Amino acid sequence: MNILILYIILPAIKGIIILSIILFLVAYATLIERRVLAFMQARLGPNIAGPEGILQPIADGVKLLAKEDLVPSSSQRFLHFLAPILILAPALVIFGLVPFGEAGNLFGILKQPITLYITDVNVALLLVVGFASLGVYGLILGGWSSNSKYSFIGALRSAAQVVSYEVPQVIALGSILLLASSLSLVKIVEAQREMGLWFIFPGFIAFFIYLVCGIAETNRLPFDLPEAESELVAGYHTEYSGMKFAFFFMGEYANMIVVSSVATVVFLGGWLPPFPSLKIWQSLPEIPIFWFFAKVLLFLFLYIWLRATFPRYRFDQLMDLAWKWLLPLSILNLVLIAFIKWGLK
Amino acid sequence: MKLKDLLLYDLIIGLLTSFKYLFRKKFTVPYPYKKLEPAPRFRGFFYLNPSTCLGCNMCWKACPIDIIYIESHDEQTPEGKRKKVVDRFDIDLQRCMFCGLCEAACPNGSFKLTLKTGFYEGAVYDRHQLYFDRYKLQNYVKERKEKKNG
Amino acid sequence: MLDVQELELNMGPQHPATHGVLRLILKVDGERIVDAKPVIGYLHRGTEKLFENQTYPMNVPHTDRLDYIAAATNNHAYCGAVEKLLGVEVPRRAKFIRVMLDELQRIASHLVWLATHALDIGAMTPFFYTFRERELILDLFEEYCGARLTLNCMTIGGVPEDLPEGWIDKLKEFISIFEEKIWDYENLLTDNRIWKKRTIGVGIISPEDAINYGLTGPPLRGSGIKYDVRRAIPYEVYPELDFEIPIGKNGDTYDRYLVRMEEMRQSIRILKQCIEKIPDGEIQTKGLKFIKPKPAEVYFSVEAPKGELGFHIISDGSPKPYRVRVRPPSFINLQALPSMVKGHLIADVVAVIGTLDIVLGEIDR
Repeated sequence: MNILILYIILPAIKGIIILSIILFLVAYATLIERRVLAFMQARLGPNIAGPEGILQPIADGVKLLAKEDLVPSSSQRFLHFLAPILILAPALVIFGLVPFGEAGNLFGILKQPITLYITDVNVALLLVVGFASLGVYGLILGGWSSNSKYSFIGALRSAAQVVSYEVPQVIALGSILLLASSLSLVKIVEAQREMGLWFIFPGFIAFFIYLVCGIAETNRLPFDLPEAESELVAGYHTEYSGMKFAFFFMGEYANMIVVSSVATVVFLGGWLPPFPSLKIWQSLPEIPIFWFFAKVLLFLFLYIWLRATFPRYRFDQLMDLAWKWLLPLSILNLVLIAFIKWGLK
Repeated sequence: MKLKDLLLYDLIIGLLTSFKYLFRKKFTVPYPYKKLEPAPRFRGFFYLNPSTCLGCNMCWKACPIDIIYIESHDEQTPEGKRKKVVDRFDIDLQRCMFCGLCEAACPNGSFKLTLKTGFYEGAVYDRHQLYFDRYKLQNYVKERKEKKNG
Repeated sequence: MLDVQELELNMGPQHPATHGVLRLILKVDGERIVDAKPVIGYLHRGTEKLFENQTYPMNVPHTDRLDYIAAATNNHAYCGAVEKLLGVEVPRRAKFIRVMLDELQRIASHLVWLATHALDIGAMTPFFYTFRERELILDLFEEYCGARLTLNCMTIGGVPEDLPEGWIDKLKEFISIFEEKIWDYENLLTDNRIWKKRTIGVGIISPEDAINYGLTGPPLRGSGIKYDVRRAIPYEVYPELDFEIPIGKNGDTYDRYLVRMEEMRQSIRILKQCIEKIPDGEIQTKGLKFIKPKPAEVYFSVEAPKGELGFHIISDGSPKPYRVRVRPPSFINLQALPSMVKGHLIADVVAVIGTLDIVLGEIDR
């Protein structure tokens, strides 16, 4: 009975709660983006649907549900149907691995402390990277099944971009692996607590590389050539309408939140306050997941800020950046971190 | 490679420029809850009192699109002079381009055909409502403004 | 055996990036462009034939619609041509007012250019900042002549109305606001490494090619040739005003960007001088109620924001012109597009269209 509760029912309940929170955050990330982007451009964003636009994502969802689902007549229906799913599903699965907080009593409601993550897989970082690279299939299938020259070009570009930027990203995460001596995400946070510092301080180059690669992975400005409106109309999701288009969008935002979450866990200390060994944190009340979500929201703001400011890179300059600059930099960073680790011993 | 380039100085300046607008006053005017008033010389819809029209046909000749239709006949005033009385004064607003040449050509002084009514919300559901006859030339703008305010 | 084929892409008439209904047939080899052919005519409205059926004063509102972003210079070119045909001289105050309207229109047109060019290359925010300043300029125009876009602000022989009360003060306010805000655009774009990478070396045109194609305006000045109609064939009061003509060095997109930004600053300088020097007086030459010129032929050009805009009018003694031919700067600048784009990538085509600053209303008339 104990096994049943511990290993099946409790993770299922946690999974449902986390999934609903994340889907809620994905929907409202669209609203946050539109309003913050508008504020930076000296205009108001959507503020008519509900006070300050709170009901706007619901309005968008209802509109997209009610639209006609157009499938180009000369495309394969199964692939057309499968592509959006392949973008959204891996992103949501990764949230099963990300730790939101440590064992907490949930304000004393429960008798025993429960952990605020679903599982603690001991190769979690590897699994995260693996699932993130499954997203490429969705892009390629999306472009292929649209049966249009523009979409195809956009899909190929996007796939090349995602695959090339994964290499420096994984090497940068590998340098963190050196610092933490473990692939498990929970142990990485514990290692930051032991060290007394977030890993961003010894590994700021790794953080910078990870951030740039993260922006390129999620096809955001300044690396959003595959969905550049002014050239290929909308790239690989030109021919999608209705809820499938909504899935592509949700997939993009879910990927953004995944990249932000992994960055907070690995570089910014997960649920730890800054400089966790300071004495003042013992005197303040502990709110289990406040720090985590604050950092994720900070990353989302950074994404939107970058989108508002910069023009986009041309495709060959993008690939240039990945292979000629980020890859050597990440290898150098690995060597540097090895020296730091040797020095810390 | 200068130090400024390495430290991404140019990118940071751009980021700070867009950041400062987060806290400034926004430029949007939330129409229709708040509306901007047009300038006094704004070329809006027409106003004319057709009973004061001289019937000289100067506006008709000046219009580049030929949308003013005037018909008049002569009458004798009690003093024995000849006077022109305007029967039909139509302006086809569906095709008007609001250039103001008719207003510039009208010689009637303060009774002239004028566009400076400050009325620009002319969207209608049925475009035949935009064919202005004598009655509408005099009363359309007034009625619409009263309906808005009242 | 494997055969490498060239792909023929159609950047069609409906496209978010071509500034109007321009159709480009691109022959692409992988990602490199081998040939580009513009196909125009989707906005042809028969303007030149229309001019033949109406009298000279009735044509002025129709010239607004040629280059609909910079309407005051179109009016100016047409009215100047008819005045040259009739041999009349415009009063001095009207000349100053015309120059002020022209320079304000130049700033407004360059703001639209900056907005759309930056948007095509990916930077979203300069669009909103520049349109905010353009609103102030359009408000100034609305106070003066009653319309914001299709101005009809000049008549043959002068200007129709005098400046209203307080217009010059509002203009001074605008100048002081604009001088601050132009730094916003520069901070966002001029030194930005991504912008430089996208625009340096793209769309190069050599000075000899520029003269051979007959380019005018910023595309010509970006290649290093100092030709400006305001200095070469002076009209109105430009000989009395003190301003510089910016030129570029390499003839690429970045140089044309710098040339246009500097032109905006020089326009502000001209406006400041006009505010000081404007005299009192009449605004319209008398006796031009009924225009019937003698049979003659005339060509008159002004420096529009997009290049040299000229009108060639042939009259045959009747109140209607016999033939009016417009020399549209965008049409002649567009013919340099295939040579500028050869060997670049598809992403550069949008940058080059943006830097030539074309308006389909002028090209198709």
